[in-house]
Amino acid sequence: MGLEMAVELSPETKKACEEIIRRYPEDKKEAAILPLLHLAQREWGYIPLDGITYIADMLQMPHARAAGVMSFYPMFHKAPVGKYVIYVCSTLSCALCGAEAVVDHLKDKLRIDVGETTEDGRFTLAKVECIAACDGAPAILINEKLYRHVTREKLDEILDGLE
Amino acid sequence: MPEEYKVITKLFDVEGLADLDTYRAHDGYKALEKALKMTPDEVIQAVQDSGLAGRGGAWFNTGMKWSFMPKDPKVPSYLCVNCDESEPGTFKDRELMRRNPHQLLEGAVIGAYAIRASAVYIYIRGEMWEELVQMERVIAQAREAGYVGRHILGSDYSVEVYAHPGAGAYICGEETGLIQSLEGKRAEPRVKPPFPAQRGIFDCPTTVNNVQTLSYVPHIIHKGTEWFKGLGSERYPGTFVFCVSGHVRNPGLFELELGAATMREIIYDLAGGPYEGRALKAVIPGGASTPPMTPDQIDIVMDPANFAIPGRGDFQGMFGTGGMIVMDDTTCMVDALLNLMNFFAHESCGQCTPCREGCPWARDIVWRIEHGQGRPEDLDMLLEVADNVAGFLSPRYSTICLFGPAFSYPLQGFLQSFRSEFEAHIEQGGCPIKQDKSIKVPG
Repeated sequence: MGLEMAVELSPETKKACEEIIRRYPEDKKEAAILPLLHLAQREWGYIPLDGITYIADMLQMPHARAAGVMSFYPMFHKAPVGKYVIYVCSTLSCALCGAEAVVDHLKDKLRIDVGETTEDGRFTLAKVECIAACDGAPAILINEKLYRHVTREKLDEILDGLE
Repeated sequence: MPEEYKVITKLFDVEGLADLDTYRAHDGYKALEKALKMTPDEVIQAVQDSGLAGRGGAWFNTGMKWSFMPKDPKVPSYLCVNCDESEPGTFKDRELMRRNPHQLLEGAVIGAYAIRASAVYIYIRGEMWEELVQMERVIAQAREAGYVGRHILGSDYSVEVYAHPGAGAYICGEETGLIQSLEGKRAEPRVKPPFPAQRGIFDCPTTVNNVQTLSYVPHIIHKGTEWFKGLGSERYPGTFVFCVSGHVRNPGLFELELGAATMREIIYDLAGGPYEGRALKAVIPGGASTPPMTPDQIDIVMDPANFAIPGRGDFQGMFGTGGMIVMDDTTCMVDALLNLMNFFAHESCGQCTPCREGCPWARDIVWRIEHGQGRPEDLDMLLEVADNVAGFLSPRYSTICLFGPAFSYPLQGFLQSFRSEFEAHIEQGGCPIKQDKSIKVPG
């Protein structure tokens, strides 16, 4: 930090950001902070400190306020994560159908603990609260994709099938 | 065997329903055409007369809620669609958005016309990215066809519709928390009044409606008020989408007329009942915030009017979101409560002290009991913590929003119905239940 940082968004993402900002009243640009942070995270993989100030400047909002908003929402990563983040739903319906066993299997398979990333940078393992797919228990998200009724065999198949 | 009566889930299995042409082939957007030939007040009246009540859990008459919006707005006004479905055990909004997104959009545009909104924001929880992307595509199709945007279908009415992602905070499902979030703030709920219809998004009049509620609107306009009123119970007309999950053989969504079936019939006849050789132990009736029910209580007819909340009915429990979580006899109720308290402790927004501090404290005490470190005085302490936040099913609560009661009610409910199991944990210094934590999938 303090060094000249190279955070920058691609021209396409910037264009998408500008289109989103126009969805809100002219003097209420900061309403676009969540959609913009999502777009930025897709490009950067996480939101570095300078990334927050970059987005805050686009929205003409104070840096500290932008950081305060971002820290409220669990979906934004403050540090680099794996190419694939595996979110295992751990709330009651999934827990009743074996969510802990799903986590244990992934821990064994990837040889990491919850919250950690594999050495090759491919996978991060996370436990999350209810993802509104309770009839698909146990359910997981890998990045944005929802997988329902996962078993050990199905998990192996899914993970092996990823690029 | 209770019969399903499908209105908003009727077309769920139609291939390609997210495409405009397919939706139109099933009478799609006919209701919007009809609504635009009515005055906004006539639309409000029709929905009000139909008896449609908010399916998010509050059960307030939707048309009446719309009527609180200014008739001659001097500033922009907004309709906000609450697709932040996060209540554990509830998964109907995800499916309504996934499997019939145009139905929701059509309902939203009709609602926007009725309340004279200048824009609609569809707030979709961040974990539903696939649904968000699809919704963007659906809005674009509808705009192209003239159902959204300037001069809808050649009328004088113009409205823009935007999808807006959340980012993983449960409290955004609370309507003022959602408004804060949409404004680009921390989703800390606001004190009411002022109500959103007076000051909502960007300090402008706003109505927040639930996905399921709006999905009914095209059907009410298309088939008429009397048709809808003829369904369901007298006080709560219409159908309802129940969600069943947990220890059942056939988890899923079941749309039934309100008051047409008992909880037992829904769990056993539609959701397949418990697994072979297992017995029912408890049911959480309508999302994590509702107190659990015991097997002797499940012959209750599923009509909100029968429940203390919302209907002031005889049964001292809550109807909630209709998201039932079924637990069989391998479940430890202390462990189940611990799971829920972990959820609430994680999701408290931190604004009000009783909730910010109460959730983690209660969670830690429950953890202690489950892990053999419980003390005899713990149960009364838990009840005291809970009561300081909210009296059981009472209107007395000490927090800005209903999150306080939402964690306090189940805490009190678990202790009320399963106190002996908590005591057994404390006496035996550990969990006496042989829990089955293996992976279970249907079929």
